[in-house]
Amino acid sequence: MEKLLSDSIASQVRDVFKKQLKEPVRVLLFVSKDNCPGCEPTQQLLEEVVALSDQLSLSVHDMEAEPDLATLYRVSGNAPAIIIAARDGERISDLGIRYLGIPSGHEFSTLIQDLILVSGRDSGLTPQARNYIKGLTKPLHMQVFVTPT
Amino acid sequence: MVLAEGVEAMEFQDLSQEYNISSVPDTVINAGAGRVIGAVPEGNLLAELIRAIGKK
Repeated sequence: MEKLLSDSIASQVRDVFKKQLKEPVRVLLFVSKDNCPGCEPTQQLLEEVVALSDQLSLSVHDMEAEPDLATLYRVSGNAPAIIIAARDGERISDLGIRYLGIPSGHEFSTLIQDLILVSGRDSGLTPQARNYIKGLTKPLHMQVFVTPT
Repeated sequence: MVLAEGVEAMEFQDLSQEYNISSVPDTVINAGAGRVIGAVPEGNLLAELIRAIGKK
């Protein structure tokens, strides 16, 4: 199959990963067989990206075939859904970081940055924001709408 | 407790329409309780969170 990432992009990303990835990251991709034109290209793109570093791994799940897992990861029917989770040995920790859609264009760099952020295990937030989040007693859901252009 | 989700607005038009997304980035907090349009400094986002969902 023809690659989505050119050799030069792949080599740049490999260098960035080599310098900046610290701890392992597990990417979970939830796909659907139902009306999901974005699922196949997203899977191919993620396969190409995780192949660029030993710190990265990918598992692909069908949200209808694995409803319990989808619920566990708070995936609500929109596919493709990309979960960027921390991995420590066999243990996967969902940090609540996800992206819905094909991570192309500008969103490709967002994906790379997210992988680096989760790998560093540090949000980079100010002490004020950290305190606020620690004190939350109700769930907080932020949806950042973006476009690839 | 915290779910931070990037949503590709063109691919999920039903969601975009639900919140009348007309420019990006546009951040919807707890199904519309709060809203931040544009890429803003962290302090501004925090202020909107406090306004929308309370001090804690």
